[in-house]
Amino acid sequence: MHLSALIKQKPKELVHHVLRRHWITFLPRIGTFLILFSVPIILYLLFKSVTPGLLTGGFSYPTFVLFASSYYLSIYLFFFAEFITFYLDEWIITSDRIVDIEQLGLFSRSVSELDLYRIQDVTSDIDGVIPTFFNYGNVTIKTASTNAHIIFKNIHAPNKVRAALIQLAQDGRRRKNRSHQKNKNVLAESKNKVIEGTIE
Amino acid sequence: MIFLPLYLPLMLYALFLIVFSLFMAVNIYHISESASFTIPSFVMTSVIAFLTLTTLIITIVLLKDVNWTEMLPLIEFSSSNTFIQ
Repeated sequence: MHLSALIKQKPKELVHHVLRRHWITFLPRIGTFLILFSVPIILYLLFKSVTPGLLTGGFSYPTFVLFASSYYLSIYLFFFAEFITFYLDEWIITSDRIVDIEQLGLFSRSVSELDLYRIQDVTSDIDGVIPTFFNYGNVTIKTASTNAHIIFKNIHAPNKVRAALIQLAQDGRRRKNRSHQKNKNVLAESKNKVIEGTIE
Repeated sequence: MIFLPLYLPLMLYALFLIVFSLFMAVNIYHISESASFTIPSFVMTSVIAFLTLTTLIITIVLLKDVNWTEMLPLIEFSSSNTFIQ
């Protein structure tokens, strides 16, 4: 599927940014994977030195191999699912709106949208040594409605994104005002025509 | 003494492989459904596919000489087993 199909892109709508979490925030998961990966190797070496006969028995040997194989396949699956949850969280900024796609789990996904002209407040925050060093953090977007807000979590260069969003929101408001004015003019025109008796 | 056919763990493993394949398919479906065919997702999928294939090949190589029709006692009392001794 193409991105335009995913967000049901409108005819004149342009995609400005596709944001994902910073790659550095995935490192703890890689660390967990490496620890889990090394556990059977350590256990094997331990059993081999303490009870060498345990792993060579007619039943225990194939069972151990099958169990180890299942364990490894399970951690690959776990790791891949973690990657999917991490990587499929994305925020798409277009010329009209923000599309917030959150992959909450393997079978849970939420998609929400926010029109740019509704944006009231954009805040970026970079908190901590590592985020400052690697330039990543959160961007919180608030609207006039108290419960409608979107958070871009751990994205790269949040200050730049905030500046771009403010600019796009201003453009969006200007466009909205123009179209509102246009509609008002059309309405006034047709009203005048009715008064003048040109429309029956 | 309880006897167990050796193909039983193999059957359980086959069942596990079916579940594993289903979940992997769901993961790949998510990538395609969210328009995330990018270099990082391609690299990660390739790494996982490589690791999976390597694990399966190693499993086959390690178990190629096992006679799966054998009936074996569930509890083995080996003289070298220091835990049981």
